[in-house]
Amino acid sequence: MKKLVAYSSIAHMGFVTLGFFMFSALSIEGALVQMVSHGFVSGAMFFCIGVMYDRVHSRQIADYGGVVNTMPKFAALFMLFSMANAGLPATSGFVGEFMVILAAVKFNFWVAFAAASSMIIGAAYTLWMYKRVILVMLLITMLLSSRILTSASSPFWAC
Amino acid sequence: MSTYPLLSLAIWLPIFTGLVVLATGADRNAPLARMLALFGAIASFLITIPLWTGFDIANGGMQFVELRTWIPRFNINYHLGVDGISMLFVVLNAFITIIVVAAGWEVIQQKVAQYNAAFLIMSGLMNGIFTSLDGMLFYVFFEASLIPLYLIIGVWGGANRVYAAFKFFLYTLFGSLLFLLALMYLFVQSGGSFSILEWHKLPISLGSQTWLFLAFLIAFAVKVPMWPVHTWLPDAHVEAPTGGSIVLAAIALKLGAYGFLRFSCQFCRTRRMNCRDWSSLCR
Repeated sequence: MKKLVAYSSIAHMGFVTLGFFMFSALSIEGALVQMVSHGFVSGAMFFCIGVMYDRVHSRQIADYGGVVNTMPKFAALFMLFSMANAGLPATSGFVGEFMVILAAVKFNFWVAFAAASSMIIGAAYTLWMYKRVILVMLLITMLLSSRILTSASSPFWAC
Repeated sequence: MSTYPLLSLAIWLPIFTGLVVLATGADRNAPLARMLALFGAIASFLITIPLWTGFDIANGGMQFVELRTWIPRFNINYHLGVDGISMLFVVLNAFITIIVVAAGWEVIQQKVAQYNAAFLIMSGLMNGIFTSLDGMLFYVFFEASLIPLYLIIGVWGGANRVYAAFKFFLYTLFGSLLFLLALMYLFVQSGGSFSILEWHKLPISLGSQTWLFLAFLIAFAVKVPMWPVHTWLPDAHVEAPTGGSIVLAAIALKLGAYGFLRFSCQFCRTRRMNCRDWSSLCR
């Protein structure tokens, strides 16, 4: 879990470096916004992971699941920071990355293409982690309970 | 504009409270150490607020400047100042320190005083990096900030902590040695000055610009971290305690990016941007 967020911060800092070395006003401002935003968001992500680690004493994604069942408020907060980490619009993570990509389009289309696809991949793995850690058990319990309800009359469940 | 040495306070108040926390010693004084650390972190945050409110956004140059001679023989000065970029990170750093002290409140039960002291001292040292306008002062703070983070990973980390701490230390130290070489070159070129602002005005030939760029690139690329030299970061994050991860991600990575901005971009700007563009940006 921590490794995933660590790699995602490498990706975010890549945006900062890209912004600085395109030498345009927009890209450098975008990189600065991204630096401050990453300071808050990645700090919050590691804090959230620390909160879960203190309770479960594991940092493996496979050891988690269904945190939302036991810690609903925490799950909502973690959702907010995951979205910011994924660069969803209306979070600070989006502003910086969008400014850098915008400047990159003016610089060279393929650079912008690579940067934008890294943003999409980042969103994909962050949401995958969120699903595995926070949601999966919820889905399983929902599925199980529906199966129990539908097969309640069968002799297997009767005994 | 206030006349208090705000930047010096922002650097030395956390370091001083860190030393006081360290003096509480053994774990039987842990509650006292925690309270002192939280008090120190909040006080250090409060004194950075005037930096934000008193900042003159119409001024593109350095503000809250402090200049004292430190080592006159080599023209090394204790020269501090912030522009619109570094001011943000001083405030961010002070804020994150409060979070970090709070994050270790219940989790850390062993060597409590030392843990909190390491974070407070590191916070002060990193403020020093963001505010230094003297090359040597920057380098001293840059190197010194490695030590507390190394200890935090190496002492309070996970199972594989010693490996991660060594990897982190060796990678960054390797980068900073090239950085030191570049500083020496600039010192000689500028006729014996360590002032970063004077270096910015220095005419440097294109060939030397390339070499300087490479030296600074390697130094700060390790710290940012950029692709081939990034492998220390996942190891360090996995092994570090929560507070260590927060500081590492939120502040320590910014040091590399800030170094790019302060050194690489400025010295290697032939036909890219001139000083005027930069100062208009720094608002």
